[in-house]
Amino acid sequence: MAERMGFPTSIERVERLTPTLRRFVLRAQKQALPPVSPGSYATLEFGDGEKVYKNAYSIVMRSEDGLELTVIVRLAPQSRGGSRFLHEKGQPGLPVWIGSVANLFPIVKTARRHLLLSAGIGITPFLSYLKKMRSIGADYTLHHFCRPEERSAFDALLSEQDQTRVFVHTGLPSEVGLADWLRDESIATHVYFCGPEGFMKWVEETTHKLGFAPGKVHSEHFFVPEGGRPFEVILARSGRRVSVKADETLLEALELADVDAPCMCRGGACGACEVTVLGGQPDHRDHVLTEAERASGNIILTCVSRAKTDTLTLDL
Amino acid sequence: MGTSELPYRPLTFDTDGRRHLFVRENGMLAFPEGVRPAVFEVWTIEHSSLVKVEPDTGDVQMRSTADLLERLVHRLAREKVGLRLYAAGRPDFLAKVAKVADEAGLCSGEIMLGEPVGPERRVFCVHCDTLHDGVSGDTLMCQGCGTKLSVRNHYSRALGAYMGGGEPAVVIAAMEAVAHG
Repeated sequence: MAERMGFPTSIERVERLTPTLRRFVLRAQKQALPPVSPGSYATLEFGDGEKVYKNAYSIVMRSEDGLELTVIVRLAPQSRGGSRFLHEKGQPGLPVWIGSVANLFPIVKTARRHLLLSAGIGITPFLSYLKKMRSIGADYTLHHFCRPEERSAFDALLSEQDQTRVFVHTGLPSEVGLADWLRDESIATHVYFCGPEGFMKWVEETTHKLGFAPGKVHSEHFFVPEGGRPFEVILARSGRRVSVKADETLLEALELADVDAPCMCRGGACGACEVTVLGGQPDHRDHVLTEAERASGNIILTCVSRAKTDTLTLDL
Repeated sequence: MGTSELPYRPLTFDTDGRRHLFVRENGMLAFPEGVRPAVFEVWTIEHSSLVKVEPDTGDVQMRSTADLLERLVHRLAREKVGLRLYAAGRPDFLAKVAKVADEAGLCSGEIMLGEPVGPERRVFCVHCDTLHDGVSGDTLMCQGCGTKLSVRNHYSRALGAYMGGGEPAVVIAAMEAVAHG
């Protein structure tokens, strides 16, 4: 049998930051973990005998010896159970498999100035950005938005940072004047943003309205795939039928049925899991396909998208 | 065929821009296509030392290319987000404007280069770093080191010039034969 891709680790330390945020330090059991860059994420696999969860999380830090990776996990109320499992059962010693490490949200090396905008758990990729930017003397500013009750936790998380460049707000971006600050940015500024969907939409629309060129605007949707209506998948090549339950993703159902389906980010951001649709209507939930591709209805990203019809026929 | 030429395109106003600046090498070059935006400035090189810059006008005459480029550097250093820069002229001029824009931190959606007027290119000697303006043929004698240069399709955005290398014609012919089967 082929050796399984990835790296075995186990939870070394757990720290409760807020009632909904926990920091996990994972320690490699064998060799050093792969190198990372600011913005990298890791796909983690964990669980108990009953269910295996596979979720992608931004890497906050990799230790110098490469043996430890730090991630912060938010308890997602609408999640399919992965974050709840880590919050409830993620104790030191729990085995966690690191399936893959990649970076879809790197720092733009040619940028003259970096404006980082985050909300809630969207801070995680920027924790590694801040370290790098400070060390190379880059011109940057971070505006972080959070709920009033979470303020002290984020203040603590950012306490080591350059306080002239890092700001925490408890008001909405539209209330504190973010649009005016954006309008006043130099033409050399690149904007990076990460946070919940409402925040992402506001920043997308505002930067577009102010004339930021698409090449200057970079985002990462930390999208937690949600469940939905159950449906059935017909695999055209074998004729097999696979049921997708309400609380699992299409990709998870395929994996459970031992179907060799492609995937990478597991969050609708990279496009690696694209599969051809031969019948049925997809319910697109990704951030990769163009409007034209969505309308055509003949491709689907299995990691987040579902079906509007009772069955979906895939070229698998 | 893969080349690394500058991305030339017929100029059209980008409606996503908030302010628009058009720089042109002479007054005969047409404005970008489309509805003229409310905030629009034109800088035109008059090639005359008699020109005086009128402040606070959207239609500015410049004495020379050097004059325009120098002002552009200052302007872009102070410019806020939302500007779209359009340039029209010969390849030499477009290369220089693109270089100033790149150095100021503009990206591909913010700088638009029109179809170049004429074949003249700027050529960089890879042996001695001498820059040659207005090269219209495919070969030239380097003014720095005297090497006979052949102009390659390799454009360097950082240098704002095409690469000129001194491979003898026979070597180039052999390389091209290998590359193109």
